[in-house]
Amino acid sequence: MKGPLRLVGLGIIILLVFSPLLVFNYGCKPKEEEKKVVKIGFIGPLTGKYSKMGIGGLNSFKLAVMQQNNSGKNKYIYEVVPFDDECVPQKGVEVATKCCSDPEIVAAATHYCSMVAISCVDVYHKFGLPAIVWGAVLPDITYGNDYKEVSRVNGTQVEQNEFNAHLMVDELGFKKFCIIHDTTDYGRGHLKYFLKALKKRGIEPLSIDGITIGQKDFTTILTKIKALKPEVVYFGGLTAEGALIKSQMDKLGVKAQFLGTSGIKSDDFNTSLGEHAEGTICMLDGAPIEKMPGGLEFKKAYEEAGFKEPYEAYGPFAYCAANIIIKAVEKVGPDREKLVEEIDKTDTEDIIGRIHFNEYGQNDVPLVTAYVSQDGQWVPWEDSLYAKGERELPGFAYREGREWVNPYQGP
Amino acid sequence: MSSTSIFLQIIFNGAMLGIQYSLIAVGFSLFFGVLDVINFAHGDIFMLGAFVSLTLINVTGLLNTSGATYVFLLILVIILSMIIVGGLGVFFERIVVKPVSKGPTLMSLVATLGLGIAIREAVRLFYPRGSETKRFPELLVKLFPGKEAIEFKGIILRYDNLLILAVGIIVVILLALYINKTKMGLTIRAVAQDAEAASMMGVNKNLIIDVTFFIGSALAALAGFMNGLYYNSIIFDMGAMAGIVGFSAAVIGGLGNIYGAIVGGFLFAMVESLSAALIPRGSEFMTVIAFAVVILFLVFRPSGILGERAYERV
Amino acid sequence: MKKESKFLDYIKIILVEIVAFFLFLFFLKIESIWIVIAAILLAILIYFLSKIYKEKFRALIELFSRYQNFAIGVLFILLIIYPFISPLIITHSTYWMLILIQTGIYIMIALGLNFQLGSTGMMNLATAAFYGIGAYTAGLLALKLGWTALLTIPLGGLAAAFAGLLLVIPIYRTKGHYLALVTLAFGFMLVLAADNIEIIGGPQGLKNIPPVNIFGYNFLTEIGSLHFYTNYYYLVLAILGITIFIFARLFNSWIGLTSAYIRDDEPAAKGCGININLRKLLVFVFGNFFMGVAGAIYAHMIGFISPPNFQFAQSLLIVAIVIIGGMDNILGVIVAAILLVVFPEKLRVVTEYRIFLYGILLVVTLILRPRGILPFGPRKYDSSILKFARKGGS
Repeated sequence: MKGPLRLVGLGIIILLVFSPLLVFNYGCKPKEEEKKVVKIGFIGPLTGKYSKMGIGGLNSFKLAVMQQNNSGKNKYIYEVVPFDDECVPQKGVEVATKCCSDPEIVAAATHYCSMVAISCVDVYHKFGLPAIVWGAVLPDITYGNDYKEVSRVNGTQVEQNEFNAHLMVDELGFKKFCIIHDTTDYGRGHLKYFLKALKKRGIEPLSIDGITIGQKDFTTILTKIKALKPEVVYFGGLTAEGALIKSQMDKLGVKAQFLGTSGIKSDDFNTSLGEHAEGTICMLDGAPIEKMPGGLEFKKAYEEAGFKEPYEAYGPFAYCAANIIIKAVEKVGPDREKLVEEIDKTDTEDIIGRIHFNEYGQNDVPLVTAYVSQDGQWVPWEDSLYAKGERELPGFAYREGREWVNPYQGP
Repeated sequence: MSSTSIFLQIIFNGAMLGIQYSLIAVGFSLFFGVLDVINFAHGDIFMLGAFVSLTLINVTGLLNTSGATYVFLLILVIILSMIIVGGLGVFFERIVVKPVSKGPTLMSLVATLGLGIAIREAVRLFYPRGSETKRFPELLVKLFPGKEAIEFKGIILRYDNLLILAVGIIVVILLALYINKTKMGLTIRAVAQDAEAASMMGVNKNLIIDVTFFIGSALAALAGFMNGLYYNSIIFDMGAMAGIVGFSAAVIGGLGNIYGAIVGGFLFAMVESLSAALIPRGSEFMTVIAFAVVILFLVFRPSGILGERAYERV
Repeated sequence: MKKESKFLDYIKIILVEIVAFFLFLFFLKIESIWIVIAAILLAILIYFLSKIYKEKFRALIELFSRYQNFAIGVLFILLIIYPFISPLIITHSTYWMLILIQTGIYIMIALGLNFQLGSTGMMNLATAAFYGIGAYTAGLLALKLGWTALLTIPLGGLAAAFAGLLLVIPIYRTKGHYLALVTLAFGFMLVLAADNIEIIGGPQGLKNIPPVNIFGYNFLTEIGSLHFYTNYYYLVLAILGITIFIFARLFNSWIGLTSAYIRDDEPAAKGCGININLRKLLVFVFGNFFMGVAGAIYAHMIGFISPPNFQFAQSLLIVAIVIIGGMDNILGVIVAAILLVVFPEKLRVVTEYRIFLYGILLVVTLILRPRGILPFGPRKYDSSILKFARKGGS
């Protein structure tokens, strides 16, 4: 068997000789292009339950970059490097590290899930990478530290819940609330700030109940709530649980207004509940897309770009984050330290309106919009048939002891 | 609410969950009995049952019919989805489960784990808009025009839930009769007890294994359909936890013992229901408390409630 | 004659290891979908080659087991110089270093489980929970009391070991899949407890856990131009080395032999007078110690731990590593860990399909090699053991 043995031996020697060469020489840099390429990162949940939010954000981010590159006005060409945090904190830390340890990435737009964002801020600080949050609303992400690297274009739970209470108590006159929240820091955050807002108005909730992510059966809690006869059931949490709660609420005959936060402002909420979503109220930071100064153009450009998925609630924020980064790079060059300084000073205008980062890097232009689910769509409160009085909120009917007739007419 | 009504509500909730867990747990026991495997993909078969039913509902346009056609189509959808998923169960058994059953039981655990992951992700990736929570229509409400529920001692019992429960119990009884009174049932029990001896008596072992997997998967599919009806929503990862609970229920009852699986399923659900209702913040902890009870149980009755079917060969 | 061929053997081992080393670096370097295809093709190629050149392959494997210590020695030398070479070759070298350290940590946990499951037949589905206990213990001690890593890491291990004692009654009374269920339930309970107890952070977990600081040398300092993670790399390498050494010695010892006896035929082992229950308890506690140590290191390194890190899914990953590696096989565990931890990271280039392919990978690996990649065979004993046996050991 000398023949094959020789061959194998030869093969091994060749492999041995060439492998280092291969390894050192592969991937030679191409010749200098006209414009230098600058990489910017995007981190969000691209797989798993909230992949739609993440992909919506990614697409919007890409749209902004595309528009900038096509405009020909910039010194650099920008390339998007996406990372999937799976909405899991550990994964988030890993991909944040990966993003930061790539020397070519100069800045990044980061996270939709608050639980992931809060664990990753330390990573960005450790590596000195400027990170702009585009979707996570937990206040501590910006307010809980004084990292210059971390900033945020969207609002926080503080403003959301203040507006929530304002609308429900001051404008619509509800007084009896039962609160359900999820037990993550996100859910607890909503609880904390909503309680604060209620207390300011002298209201104590009738009950507070925690639920875990992934829980499917809420009949026990809802049975208890039903006996307390609240006017409003508030839910601080995300779509998956929110939809189940609303569905079971209706089945059990809990006659109250359902109220949520940005966590349920997603298309999924409406499609998975069908007619049972009708009349639900929720909040979102920023102005509604049609009212945004650049909103309609954004919508049109997004559709023309041919993305398969919708831009979802926080797409526009990701879009603005991209523009902020690019503007900063154009001004001070692709240098992380300089970018941290520059981005920190942001005071600009974009499709969502004015963006101003305060001393914590938080965009403190306080804009929150209330939405109501009408015929399978989230419609801004001021534009809705409910605000105009043509349709009646379930909460109004119930607090007067009447039955509520569902005006749902299909999407 | 009076204590009677709270108590009844607990029992009812527990029963609704219990019937679903039992149907899944039965599968675990069947598979273990007949092939000595722990099939962690079984929870995802449950999920497939829900998704296949949903697809059939849409394809047959069930929601647009009414009256006798409606009832007929409804029954057709249920039976068809059970057959399809039963078939898928056999398919997976042939290509994955049987090959790894030759090794130690733990091998099958990991292999079926991988299979379960693959099935879950396949639905997420390839089913149209798979990562979304999907609405599962309230099919049974149409059967009770006018009235939706009756009130009984202070709690509301919806007719559709009662029907689900009734159907489930009937199926379970039919299964027990099948296993005990028919020839096929006898053959299955024979193979479960001693596969070699059975094949020496002329039993086609492979055929029996296929039949067992078909039945187990079909039952899980039914449970998936019921779950969809009960919660009105399904999502691609609904099988993960269901599988773990089903496995636990089967073990409590004594792995390999069909009756044990049924008892285990109801027991697990009752503990969950009781803890959610009676313990403060119990709703968050209910699964965990059930697990704690499971541990205590196993400490005092290590072979499960009704005992495992095999004894140790020395 | 003998000396020459021995020298040749050594050279062969060195060559194979160096080639594998560079191929590995190459694999880590490339960032496109072609890598996935290339890897799969390579794997298939190696599979077929092993079938065709059966004797050659067997001789090669034989070679490695004969000169096991030498082979491992060479491997360690390569691993020591890795941090100096990798930045020159790979772009995201820091990230991959993080992944390799993570792999090392998982190997440590898997070795603990391997001792419980592979060597003694005890199924432990709560490995991630014990890993978590080690992490939280170290994290809390360092964060709230300011204790140094020299203390927190061993204490983390001890905490996990003692937590194992909590399960003493179930261990004594249940077997096989019942023990599995008990550990499963226990794992869930621990995670949920951690999620709801605010003092240890609740669902937010613990943040800003101080890095390792030994005798004033803070692990956040860079070594020359190398990233500070390199410190942890060497720490893990060192501790892992000790761990492997301990388990290898155990494997070859009286303890290893009798544990395997318990795994294979418990009634017979009992009949030989082995105290089954005590042994099982000791094995369980001992295995958990290493899981705790691994957790403690992780806590210091990443500085952030939270309940979702330690859920059932992670336990299953460890179980998969041990079973795919071939139970009771230290080298198998290492190979399986690389396959199941490093490879999926590479698959991130096909982000969407990553988890799906991971599931398929598990299935295919087990169908093709149902006894694991490197299943244990009958033990080999050389003359020294026989002498011992002849003398009439205890």
